[in-house]
Amino acid sequence: MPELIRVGRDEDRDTYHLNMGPQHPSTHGVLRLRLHLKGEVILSADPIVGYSHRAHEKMAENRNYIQFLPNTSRMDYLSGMIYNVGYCQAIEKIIGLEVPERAEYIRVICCELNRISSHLLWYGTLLMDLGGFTPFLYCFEDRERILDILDLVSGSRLTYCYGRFGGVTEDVDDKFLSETLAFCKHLRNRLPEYDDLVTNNVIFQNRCKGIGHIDKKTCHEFAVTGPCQRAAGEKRDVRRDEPYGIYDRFDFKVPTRTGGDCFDRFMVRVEEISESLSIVEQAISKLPVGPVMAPKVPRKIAPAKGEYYFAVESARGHFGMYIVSNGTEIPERMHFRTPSFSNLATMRRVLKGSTISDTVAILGSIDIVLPEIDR
Amino acid sequence: MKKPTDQMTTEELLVEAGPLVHIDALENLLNHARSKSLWPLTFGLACCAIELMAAGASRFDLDRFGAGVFRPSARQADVMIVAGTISKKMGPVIQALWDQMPSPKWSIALGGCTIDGGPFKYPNQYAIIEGADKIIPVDIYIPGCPPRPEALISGLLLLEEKIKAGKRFKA
Amino acid sequence: MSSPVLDILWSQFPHLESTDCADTAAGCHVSHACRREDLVGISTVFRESGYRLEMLTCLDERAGRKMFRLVYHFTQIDPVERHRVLVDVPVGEQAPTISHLFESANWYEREVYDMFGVSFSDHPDMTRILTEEGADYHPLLKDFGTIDGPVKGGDDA
Repeated sequence: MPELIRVGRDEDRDTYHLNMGPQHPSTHGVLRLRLHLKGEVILSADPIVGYSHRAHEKMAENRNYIQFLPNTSRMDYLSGMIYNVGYCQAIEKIIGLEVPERAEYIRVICCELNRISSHLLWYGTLLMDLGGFTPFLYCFEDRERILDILDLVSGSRLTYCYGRFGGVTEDVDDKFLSETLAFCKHLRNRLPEYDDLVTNNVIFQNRCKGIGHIDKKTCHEFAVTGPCQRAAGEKRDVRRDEPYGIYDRFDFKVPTRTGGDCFDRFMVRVEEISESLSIVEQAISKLPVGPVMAPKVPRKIAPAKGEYYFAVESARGHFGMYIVSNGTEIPERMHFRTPSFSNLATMRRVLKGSTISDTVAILGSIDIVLPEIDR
Repeated sequence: MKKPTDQMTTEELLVEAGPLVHIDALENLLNHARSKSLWPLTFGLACCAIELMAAGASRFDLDRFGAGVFRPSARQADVMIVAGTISKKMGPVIQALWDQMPSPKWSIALGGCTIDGGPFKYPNQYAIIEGADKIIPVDIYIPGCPPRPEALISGLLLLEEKIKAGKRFKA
Repeated sequence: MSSPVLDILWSQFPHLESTDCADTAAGCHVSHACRREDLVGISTVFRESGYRLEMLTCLDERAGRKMFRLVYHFTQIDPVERHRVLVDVPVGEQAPTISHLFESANWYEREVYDMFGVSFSDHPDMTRILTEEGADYHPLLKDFGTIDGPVKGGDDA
């Protein structure tokens, strides 16, 4: 090990230092938590990140805007479609490229399906962390159907590269639309089943209620976004507050709760699944005919010199892209403001005073993706 | 096999001398059993870990091949599926985990990153280790970014062939 | 663009150079260029007006202007109002920390230190965050690992 860190018992104070991770089934990847414990109570927690640092930002400075496209969906692989399309939308806004209507609707359908698949995976893994293996199998069965649908158009199951500057690569066909509608209907019928299995389960509620409070003040200080922020009672969603693409044309609720504990974050995401289903259905019913790619896309993408910022709502929160152009094909700098980075930072405060057994529930409920934190 | 000489250390002599009694039929039987009861280490690094989870979940169900018992502790596992980009920070951890696994053990490099750095390989890159075989011995390479669960299953079946043939790296 | 926070800023910090970018693709409403010594004061105003620190990063402009440039995004969430604050830090000098005002700055500043080597005075834990232990480089500096032109795609790589 490169770093000498103290683990084990402090003789004088009867306290204990413990490393959780980087290889631990409940840290959702390669997060390492350095915990200082007295018995089971956490005196201080220090998340250590960087175990999945892949230098996306350096790569961006070494290639042109188009070559960076495949990187976007590998940053947050669970909402890869949203990142990929979001990056396209950012560049389109910078160079002033109009996207055909049909492509905009297809993007919304795919992004929302991706959001549902991300939430389903989170649902399954949270429950697995809490000791229930069955919901994991339920969620993955439904998630596979979404992956099949997205596979139809993008050709990949996870790291999509479906968006292009000016549209999307492929048009959707009738099979895609009918399967999406059938899936929406299927999942709507499944959600009550999930509620019976999980939400109304006493053990689950006891393990989640009243722990891991992320209140409004913490949200504010740590710049927490996404479902964690909405569970604390702040009604904030980039899709609604700074509408990008065509999100202003859809009728959807921004679910909020007030407590900010694990159970509230759980409920917010569950409600988001049904809201996303409704957006998908609306988008399909309004889907216009026409091209899916802008007629004239410049072969050379060289935005005017300047600094740009563009934000989208990923499955985990506010994903911001800060792009500095020097007028050439190669970006001067790209910085990605990723939601999990800020959300995870709260753990220094939130985990203090809770117990080890609650740690897995709290970590699971904030839904982190490590490569997105480490970039 | 090298001829044991007096220049060798005791450790080397022990390796070169091999087992005192070698019963082929029993070894084959053991290998057959091992190949059908692989216990992978629960261990994900990046994107490929999600496909690894998918492979273990409802549709693909690794249990059909005897490889569905994921163990969170390295000391209980006998196959390490390296799933995802290996950063320089993570490299020593993977090495430690590999050393903690009891022999006989095998490893699978899942995805482009674990083969040669995959999409993150470029001149002067600083953050990642280009390939799992730079730090641990790898039995099976599965290409893809990420590989589909079917590819992982195919890789596991190949590994089973390899185990049945009695081939493995000396730990 | 008018906003209560702008009036406070302009009255307290006469050296602030503000540009209205609300109707451009810049993605923020106002962009301010501020002096290093004003940064903590300006951050305090944003904090007291209910803004949050959404993003902090750095630009390596040593080649042209012989400076590092810190980029802060302060955002009000209801209604959305985003202010970009640009602060120049000469090479080899420290920037003032604002981690005592915004908790989120703690990790952001560590990231800037890790990636660019710009350190922040009085930061509680000025250590690396993303690169491995014992790394002796700051990868996002422009002269770190330079490559001529974009990397080639496909088989020419």
